[in-house]
Amino acid sequence: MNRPAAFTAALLSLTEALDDPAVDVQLLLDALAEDARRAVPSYLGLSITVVADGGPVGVTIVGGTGDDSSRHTSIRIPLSALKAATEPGAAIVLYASAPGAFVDLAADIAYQLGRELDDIVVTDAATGLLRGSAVIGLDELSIVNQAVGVLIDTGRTSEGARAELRRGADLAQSSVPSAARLVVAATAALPVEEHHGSC
Amino acid sequence: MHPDAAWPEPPLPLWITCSRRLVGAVMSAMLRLLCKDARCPRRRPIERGSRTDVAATSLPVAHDGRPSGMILGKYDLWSLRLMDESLDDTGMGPDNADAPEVTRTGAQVVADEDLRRSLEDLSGLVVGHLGLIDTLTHVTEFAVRAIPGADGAGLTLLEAGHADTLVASTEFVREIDAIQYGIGEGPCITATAEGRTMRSGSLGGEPMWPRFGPRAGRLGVHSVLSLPLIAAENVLGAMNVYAHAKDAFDDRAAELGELFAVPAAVSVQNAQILAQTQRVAAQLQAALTSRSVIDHALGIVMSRVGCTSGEAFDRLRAISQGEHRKLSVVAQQVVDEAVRKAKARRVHDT
Repeated sequence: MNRPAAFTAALLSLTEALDDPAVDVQLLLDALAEDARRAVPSYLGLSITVVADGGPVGVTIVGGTGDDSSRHTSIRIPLSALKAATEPGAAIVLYASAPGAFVDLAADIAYQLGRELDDIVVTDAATGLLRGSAVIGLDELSIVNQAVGVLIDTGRTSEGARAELRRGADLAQSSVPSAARLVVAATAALPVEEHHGSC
Repeated sequence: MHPDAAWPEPPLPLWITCSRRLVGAVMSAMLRLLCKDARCPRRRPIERGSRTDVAATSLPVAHDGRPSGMILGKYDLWSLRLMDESLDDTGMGPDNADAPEVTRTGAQVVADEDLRRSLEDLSGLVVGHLGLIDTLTHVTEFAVRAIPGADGAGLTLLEAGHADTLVASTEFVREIDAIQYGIGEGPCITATAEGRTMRSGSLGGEPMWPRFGPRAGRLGVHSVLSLPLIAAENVLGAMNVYAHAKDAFDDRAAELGELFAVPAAVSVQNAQILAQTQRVAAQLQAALTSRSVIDHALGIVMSRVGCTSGEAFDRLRAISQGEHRKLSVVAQQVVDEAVRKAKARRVHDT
């Protein structure tokens, strides 16, 4: 299956971060997608969102046997229901092309998890195009954390570094990732003699 | 009685399960067999999104171009071919006021009651609170109760075409299934390959499995009933039910086993999705946590040396490989040292 190079690279970076030869993040996601595809004949894709350092990171995998159209139905399962996450916003969403494809699955999963049916949200209408496979939010999370590292090296605590980034974002009326990019870029622009150490 | 008149509710209160409509269909089929006066739930379409209990379950609404969960490979529950040819819709439907009474032996009554209880227990499985292995183990335990003559049961799931995730209700089943998968021959392997029920009453002399059969016989296991687990026309794996006695599983046991396998397959399929989701979420969370530490370290290195993030990463990886330590461990050390220095600097400055 052809996937964007950026998508594959992002998942590879996550696998490298785990540094565990037994785990490949892309293979895990593919196995999940395969389980969903077998359960739902018109399956189109899935998105899983986890929350890290207060920011959401989402992985979307597109590719199924359903019709590739802009209309789709979806089922959203909060990861807290699976005891897989506690942060609000962490969830998995499955997509399919046939209206009503998830009605039974929603009822079954709600019952299996001991949750109310309303906790498992089924959206049965066109909600926009299901775009290609992508990882959203990872680059922003990385640049913010790199900027935090730069500010730690200048003498701040981690909390102080984050507060500094928020302050910079407010002053520039921009986002924290934008402020973080400025911090990192400024570090690269410093003359060599102003860098104060080695690693 | 007028064909459009409402039928009374069946006498047994039943909860449906992992797939409420599937077990509803199974229970409807069982009720037709069990109820002497042939009372049946009146069939009416299920409203999309509604949750119905078994008393009101009827014909499924078509989703994805197929009846939801009803047609599973060869097993068309609504035609009741599994149960009895004489108990199909034309023989026992609510419109047939002259439907014959069903008579059962005492053993059949007990067997049907065992199946009913096992299906109730299957419906009570709260999968999200159990791991996949625990869920599957419970399914095998319920199967032993549901199928008359059974002494133990095992369950195998297929993963990428080969057997994976083996569970068993008892130790002897684990031993027997280990033999089967070790030599690549046996009833479960055949059941999953052919998608049909396999049965034997004398494993020791069973020509279907000339290597597996005698080994099972020497362990005192003489009967087997292997039921493929099929959901959405996919073979997920199989359930093996064993007995020490010869000829332990008759046609009735096979029918009950096949009825049990239907909602069991849906339970298993849903449990697989939920378990895999948990696995993926946990690994993503762990990866992001490690990545955060690594990014902090990259920022520290970039600040100290004036390199790019890619060059900083290469430095950390070289240290990791040279010292045989995980990248995240090296990164954490860099961060800890930087935090210590920063703290010392602040103390010195104050």
